[in-house]
Parts: sequence; C-alpha cells; structure tokens
Amino acid sequence: MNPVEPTLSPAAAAPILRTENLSVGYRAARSADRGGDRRVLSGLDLDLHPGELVCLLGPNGAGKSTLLRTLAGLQAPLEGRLLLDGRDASTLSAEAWARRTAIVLTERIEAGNLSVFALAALGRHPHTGWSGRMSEADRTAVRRGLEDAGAWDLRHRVFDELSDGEKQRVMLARALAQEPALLLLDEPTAFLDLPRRVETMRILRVLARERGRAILLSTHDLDLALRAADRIWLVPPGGPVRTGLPEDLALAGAFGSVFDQGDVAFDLATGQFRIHGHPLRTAALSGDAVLVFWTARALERLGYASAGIGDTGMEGRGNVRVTATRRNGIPEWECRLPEAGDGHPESFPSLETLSARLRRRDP
Amino acid sequence: MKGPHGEGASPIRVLGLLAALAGLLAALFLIGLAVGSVTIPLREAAGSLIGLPAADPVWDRILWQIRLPRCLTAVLAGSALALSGLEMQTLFRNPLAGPFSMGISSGATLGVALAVLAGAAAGADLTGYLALRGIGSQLGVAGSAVAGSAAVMMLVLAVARRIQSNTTLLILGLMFGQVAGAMVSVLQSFSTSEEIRAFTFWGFGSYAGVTWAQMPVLAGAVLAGSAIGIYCAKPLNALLLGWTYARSLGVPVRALRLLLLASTSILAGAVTAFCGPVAFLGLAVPHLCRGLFRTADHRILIPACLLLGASLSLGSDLASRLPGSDRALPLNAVTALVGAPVVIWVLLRRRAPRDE
Repeated sequence: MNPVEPTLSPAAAAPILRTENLSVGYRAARSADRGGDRRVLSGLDLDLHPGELVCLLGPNGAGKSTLLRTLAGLQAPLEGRLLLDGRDASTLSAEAWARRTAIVLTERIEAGNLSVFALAALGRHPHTGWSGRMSEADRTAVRRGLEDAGAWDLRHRVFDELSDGEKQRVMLARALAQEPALLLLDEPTAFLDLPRRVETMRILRVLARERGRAILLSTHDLDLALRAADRIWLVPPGGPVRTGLPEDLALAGAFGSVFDQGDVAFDLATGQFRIHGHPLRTAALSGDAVLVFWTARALERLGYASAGIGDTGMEGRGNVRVTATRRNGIPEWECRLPEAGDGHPESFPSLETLSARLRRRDP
Repeated sequence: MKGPHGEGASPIRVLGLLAALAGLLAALFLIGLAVGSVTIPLREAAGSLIGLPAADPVWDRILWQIRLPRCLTAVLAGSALALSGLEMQTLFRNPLAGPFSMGISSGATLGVALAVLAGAAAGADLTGYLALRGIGSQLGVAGSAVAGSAAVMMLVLAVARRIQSNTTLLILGLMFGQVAGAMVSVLQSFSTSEEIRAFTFWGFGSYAGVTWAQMPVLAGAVLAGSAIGIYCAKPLNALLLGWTYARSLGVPVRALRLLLLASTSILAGAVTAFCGPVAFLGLAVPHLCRGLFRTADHRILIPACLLLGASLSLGSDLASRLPGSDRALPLNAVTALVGAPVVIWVLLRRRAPRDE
C-alpha cells in the first residue's frame, strides 16, 4: 500500500460529510399527503471526517439502513441538508454523488458470469466516459481496490462461485475502486464467521488510517465496534442519535439504555452483553486468574454473578465460594456451599461437573 | 488468455471471435442467396450481388426479388430479437427472459390483430392489409405491434418492481402472453376464414413476406432499437449488480428503464409485425454469446448478439426451406429445435436457483 500522508487529528480537517437537521424516512405515496411521511430518524446533526471510522449501532428497525441509504443518495431526505465535501448534496448529479460516496449493501447479488475483476471494475462507472472505456488510471484504481480489500488473488475467479466472505471482500473492492471520500457499509460483517469479521474490521481500519477515507458502517457486532471504531453513532429506536467515543458512551450508560431488553443486558464491567438478566446469587471466586475468568463465565450462565473474596453481600442463602487452582498443571475446583455446613469443600475435576452440582441445588 | 490486469477475455480474443462471427454471417448470407427450391451457384449469386448479370436472367430475378429481401429480413430480425433478449435478461435479472418467453411478442401479436380488425372495420381489404401493402398500413401495423409490446413490457416491469421471485415473474410474463393470445383468438372468431388463414400463416413466423417496399420500415425500426441498446451498454453493465447498486454508481435508473422499455418494444414489436412471432432466438442467443465470449460485458455482448443472432436466424431460415425439396417448414419449428436445447442447458447449468 502507498500510505497517503498521515491524517491530522480528524477533527482538525474539514468534514467529508455534514448533516444539518436531517430527517430520513419514506415519503407518503401521494405527495398531497405530506403528513403521511414515515419519519424514521429526524433532527440529525452529524459530521464525519477523513480518516475516521465510525460505527452505526442500534437495534433492528432503528433506521440504520435508512440513514445509510440516504447518505448514499439512494433515497431523498425528508428534511434538512446534507453536505458532501462542503457542497449541498441535493445540487450534485447522481454521477457526482457516486464519485464521492460508495456503498456496500446487505443484499446478496448474483452477477452471472461476471469475473471478480470485471465486477470490481464496475466501481469505475461514475469516473469513465460514455463508452465505459477504462484508462490506465482506472485500471490502477481497480487493482488497488482489489489489493486493499484482500481480493487481488481472486481476480480471475467467477463472482458467483465465491464464498460469502470472498464475495464480501469483492464488493468492498468494488466500492474502493469507486475511490470515494466517504465509504458506507451496511452490516459488512453480517454473514461472516468470527475471524472474517475481525479481518474485515482490520481492513477498514487500515483504509481509514492509511488512505484517509471516512468510513461509516452499521453493525450488530457491539464488541468489535467498541474496539475498532473511532466514534460511535448510537441509534436508539425513535432517536435521538447519540455520538461519541465508544468508551465515553459506555461510561455514560448509553448502550444499556439502547440495547437492554428482557433478559439481555449490557455489562459495563466486561463491555459485553450478559444474557441472563440480573443474577440472583453471587459466587465468590478466587485462585488462578485464567481459571477464574472462565469459571465466572460458566457460573454466569447458571445465574451467578461473580465477586472477589472479601466482597460484601456473601451472606445470602444462595451464594457460593469457588476456588480454582492448578495442581501439577491440572485444573481443579473447590466449591463451598452454605447448605453443606462448615465441612470440607466439595472438589470437582471440571466445570461441567461443578455446573451439574450447582444445578442440583436449584429448587 | 487473460488481459494484463485480469479482465476476463483479452481484446485480441474478443476481436478474433467477433471477426469469426462476422465471417460466419457473411458465409450464411451467401448460402442463403444460393440455396432454395432453385439452386443458384455461389459464384453467380455473389456476382449478381455486385451487379454482374447472372448466366440465367431468372436467377437474377429470384435473387433480387425473393432471396435478398428474405435474407436481409432474417439478419434484421435475428439481430433485433437477440439484442432485445439480452436487454431483457439484464433488465429483469432473469436468465429466462426473452421477447417470446415474457409475452412481449404476444403483446405485439395482439397489437397487430387489433390493427387488422380496426382496418377491417374501416373497410380495408384485410388480407392485403396483413400483407402490408402501402406505407400507411405498414406503419400502422408496425406501430400497433410496438405499442402492444410496450404495453406488455410495462405490465411486466410494474410487476417486477414488487415481485422479487424470478419464477413468479416468468410465469406472470407467460400469463400476460396467454391473455394476449386468447384475445387474439377472440378477435379471430369475428373474422372470415380467409383472414384467419392469413393470420395463422403469419403466426408461424416467416421471413418470406417482407418486400423491398417494407424493408425501410423494418430496417429503420431495428436500427433505432439497436442504437438505443448500444447507447445503454455501459449502464446495462452496472445493472448486473441490481437497481440499487446501479443507482449508487450514478446510473439514472428511471431514464434507463424507459430507454430499455423503448428499445425492447421497438425491436421485438417491429420484428413481430413483419415476420410474425419468432420463438427462442431472443432467449437463446444471449446465452450462447455469454458462453462463447465468457464475459458479462454488454460492450462485447451487444455486437456479439447482433452477429450471432443474425447468423442463427439465417441458418434457421435456411434449414426451414429444406433445400432441394419443394416443401418448407414453419420457421418457428426450426428456431424451437435450436433454441429449446439451449434453454434446457441454461436451466441445468444453474446450480443454485434463486427461488427456493
């Protein structure tokens, strides 16, 4: 890769994208019926700078896709202004818009016998003339897009014969060949396995850093987004959108208010979702640090919150003490149950046997 | 051989294949002039074309009055149907789309039937009207055929915006075609038996009926439709990714939809008006071209379809004449024999059909 000049602090540069009181949604079928517009998000004042990677988070149906589609020029805003590169986007032609932004959608495509190179080359569409003839510069842009997306080795393959992960990289390469200042991606990690998700985020980070692109992606991968994003745009159902550093939002309790639902809750201590709601009991853990980490997970599944030794509140009836140690390298668990009295703790060779024992306590 | 940057086919291979197709077309054209119930030596046929008098003056007349218009018609019709088939397959993102399979030809037939009936009501000599004597009736019939095609195209396009399923869309196209066909039958029951005979014969498809007087209208329509198609080559490529991606690439999708609607209706409608509904060419030729050129690039596929469509059309017409005998087959019987296996091949080759 040819790194461009390192970007200054993002906030110092002029924004690629700025919205002023933007409302997105769907127009009523009849124009006379303006009151019938379906507003999905409104009053958006957002901006996005070169070199910035921003993750758009929010539950299904909150309007993430609608916002992305509006920013890509695929649907008109209901209200407000959209500035691309400082220019009012409503004055841009479709081609001029396409030279500034590219989008990768969730929809899966079938491309007949289009080769990977030919598909990525379609990204040059807004840059080429009437006949679509590609100059050497166009070819270089396609090549760089394929390389940056890690799809150069696939260039001779037929698109329809690729795996989901490979297709995703090719679609990204096509968007990069468009050489957009603003790259929009709708759930680019949705169909991928974990290593591919991490790899996709890594590629996007590098693109933001080294190519100075502004990248906005929607995702459900909260954990990954919190680690990779420079900033988060958090979309609660019905708005308003909150923006900020992932850590600031987490500390302000923003994720909990957006995502908590039924038994699922955002756990500030781990930065992850807890699946089992508010635990009724505690397990005081001690011993080998690694073993304690995994023991805590297994017990959490059974409804135990983990606590250090010495923490208060250990007098409750349901609470247990667990010590995890290695004896000659082999892990072992000792568990003290209050109902067993003050006798010897029970010992277990695996978390499975420990879990089975704890499950038997349940009424 | 791959291009320097890994594009599918190299320019040399593409140009070579296009030249080979052009050669095939020229050869078939000459054979088409020579072969028939009377065989004219190839040498004489070629000579007569460039103005040398043939050894037998009857040959000159056969050549100029019968075979040359027939071969030209075959070329125009084959090119037009193949191009409209290619456009429709990309437009509907459906490999089985074609002027015949989606009922566009039936729409044209209905248009013709309505025009004929209107002509009869106006007191015109009906069989004469269908034989397209006079520029007025030619434009009338061609115009009604184009309008009929466009009407069915618009119906299918409207449905396609709501229905994602390929199969459903195809069946709906067939149904629109059936309805148009049924309406033609109803119209026929109000006609005299002589008119029905004329209409039925027309329905078999034939390149023999087009005279020099009609050629300008047919050629003009095919040229206009093809010009629109060629103009749309670049956005058609973007459309391979679907409407949403095409729009994100800056394609003016509404204008493109209208242009393709116009192009396919003019091409399919005009050919149907002059030659009757010709089956399978429009559906099969684009697939043969994709297989031959191993590309999805419309800038290559459009000239390829024009050339191969014309060649297959000429070849089918040749075969339908049953050279050396006094008999002739319906053109549609031959095109179906050529085209149906291609369609079956396409169906079998698709590993993962989109419609579960």
